[in-house]
Amino acid sequence: MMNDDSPHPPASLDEQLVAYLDGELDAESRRHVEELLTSDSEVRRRLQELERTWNVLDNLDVASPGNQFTQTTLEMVALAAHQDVRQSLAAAPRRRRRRWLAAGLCLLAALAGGFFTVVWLTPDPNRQLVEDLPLLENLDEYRQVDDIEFLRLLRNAGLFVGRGELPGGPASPAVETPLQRQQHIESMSLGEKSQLLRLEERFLALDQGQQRQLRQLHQAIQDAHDALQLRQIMHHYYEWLKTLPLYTRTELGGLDLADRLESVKKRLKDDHGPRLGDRDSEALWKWMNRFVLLHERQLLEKLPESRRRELAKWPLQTRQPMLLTLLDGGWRRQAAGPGKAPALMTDEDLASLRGELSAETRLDLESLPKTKQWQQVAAWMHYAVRQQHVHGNSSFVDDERLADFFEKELPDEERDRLLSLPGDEMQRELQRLYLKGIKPPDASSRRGRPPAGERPAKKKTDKSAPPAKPGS
Amino acid sequence: MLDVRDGSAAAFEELVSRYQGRLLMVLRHLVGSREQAEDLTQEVFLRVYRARQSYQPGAKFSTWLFTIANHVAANALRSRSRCHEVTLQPRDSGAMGGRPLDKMLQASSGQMPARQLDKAETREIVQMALESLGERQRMAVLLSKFEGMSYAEIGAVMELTPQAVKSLLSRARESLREVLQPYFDDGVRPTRELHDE
Repeated sequence: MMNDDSPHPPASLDEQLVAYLDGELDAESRRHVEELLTSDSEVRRRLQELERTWNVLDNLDVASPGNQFTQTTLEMVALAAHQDVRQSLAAAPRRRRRRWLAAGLCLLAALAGGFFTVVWLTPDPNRQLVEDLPLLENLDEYRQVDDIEFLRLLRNAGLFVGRGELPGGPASPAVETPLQRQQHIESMSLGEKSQLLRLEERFLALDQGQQRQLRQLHQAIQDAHDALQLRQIMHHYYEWLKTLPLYTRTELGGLDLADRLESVKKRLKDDHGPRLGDRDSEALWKWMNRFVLLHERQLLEKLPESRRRELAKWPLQTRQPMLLTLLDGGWRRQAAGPGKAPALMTDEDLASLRGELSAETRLDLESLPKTKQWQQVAAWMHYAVRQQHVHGNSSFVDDERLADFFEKELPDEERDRLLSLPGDEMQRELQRLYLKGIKPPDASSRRGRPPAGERPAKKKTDKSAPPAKPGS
Repeated sequence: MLDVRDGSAAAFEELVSRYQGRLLMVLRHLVGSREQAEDLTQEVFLRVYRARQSYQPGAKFSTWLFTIANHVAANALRSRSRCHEVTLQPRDSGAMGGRPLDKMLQASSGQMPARQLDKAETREIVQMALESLGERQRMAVLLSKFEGMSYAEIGAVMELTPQAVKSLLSRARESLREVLQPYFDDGVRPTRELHDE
């Protein structure tokens, strides 16, 4: 090894000449060298030799990579990325594994065309993935049903029947051949592949028993003579479940099949009272938004200063659904509670709403005592906000910000709870927590720490790679 | 690079296609084998991927990339089980001797076969001259010549002071001159003597 770092004697003439050729001399040294070049022919000759030697290096082979090389490089990195994911999942303790997965989920959700999607460039046929494709694409639905008998009970009770075809038409993914599935995967966009990978990671994070049970359920539905109808019921049941609060859904999942059916029947009958039709739903939504617009200042004043500042950064069309979400918690309580008027709402507001509803709905509402009317309106508003979330109309907090909030601000137990939810519910809950500015239970222990944005993020670094120096 | 750090696959692909040629060029002449250089280039991109979170905004990407490349290449060269040191001496070059390099470069298109032969020979001799340098001199030369890096940037890549880089490059260019000058002046080809370290 050469000792390059030893103290250096005064620069030799060669060093000065080389630095002169490289444009690395300061003004004074450059002037000095130029004086020498003017007065000394030997120095001039030396400079020319050094320069000519340098120029001849242009004759070296140019090593151009071919297209195949690029492809191979990308494939190799993609494969390594995929292996990293697997190893991290396998090696980490359960909690860490879930946290890791959580970060991955958020990032993947945030980044359409995310990094791990490159794994799809690999030639690995991923046989198991192809086999599981129909299950993975409907993972949340399968997880909520868990037994084919329950679907038959729903059908026999006439529930969720005849509500329309599956998204994408009646064609059944279950009848696709492995080759068709492979082609289907290959035709996916990067974003879709990213989403599929995310689903696969979630599936693999389940224990072996759960994985086996879900595969068996899928197989049972696939083999059933009424497979298409069962899948439609499963889909519409899941769509309905998504409008229920988390605790209700958990409660349903814990019941045996017969009790679950009864509970579903009861909720379908009682929840939120009579459902609003499309026209009334639209009228209600407009009325709610107008209310928020008119009372924005008072609503904002009820928020903590930090949250108010945060909201002020958003444009009106974004701020409004955010405020609606913030109000939703109160409406949910009103719907289940004693029937007081929601915050800032007056009897005049109620009268205004009644005036915009269809005659039939208005009469139904007016037939109730005043407190019950408020209870009903609160239930409608709560349902309307949840529907907006379900249909993705209120993703007003950008995913990157949410991922950051998830990773850095939430306590472990909150992250674990979110991870136990299906993807869409997790996203919705995360938005809600973000907007509410919920402080972790151990917030006191965090006091004095700088805000997340100013903290160095916990990063997994490759020790073989040097830290990059800013400005270098 | 910030897009890569934040997870964009398209950005990574763009990064690979933009830098792979430059990286391959430097590694090819650093390790002396095209095949090994390709392996090392891929290894560097893999490390870039794995270390992407440590990339800091404001850092010049090429400096960071070649720092990783320098580490990867150094490890590879160290792990070669048998190292060969190349010593070059000027010698009479027989039939090919007596033809100054600058005359070869001036050969007319009408002398294409001879010219092609001369070019191949020139390339070979320049390659031999480069291989006569120590590993660190060679890296400094390649970064300066093909990446156009300043002494400060080379220093950042190789963990040296700019003054040390100045000295390193000066010695490297003097070594190249010693090997190539006889060929320039008298067409005397250097000899390659291989021996175990």
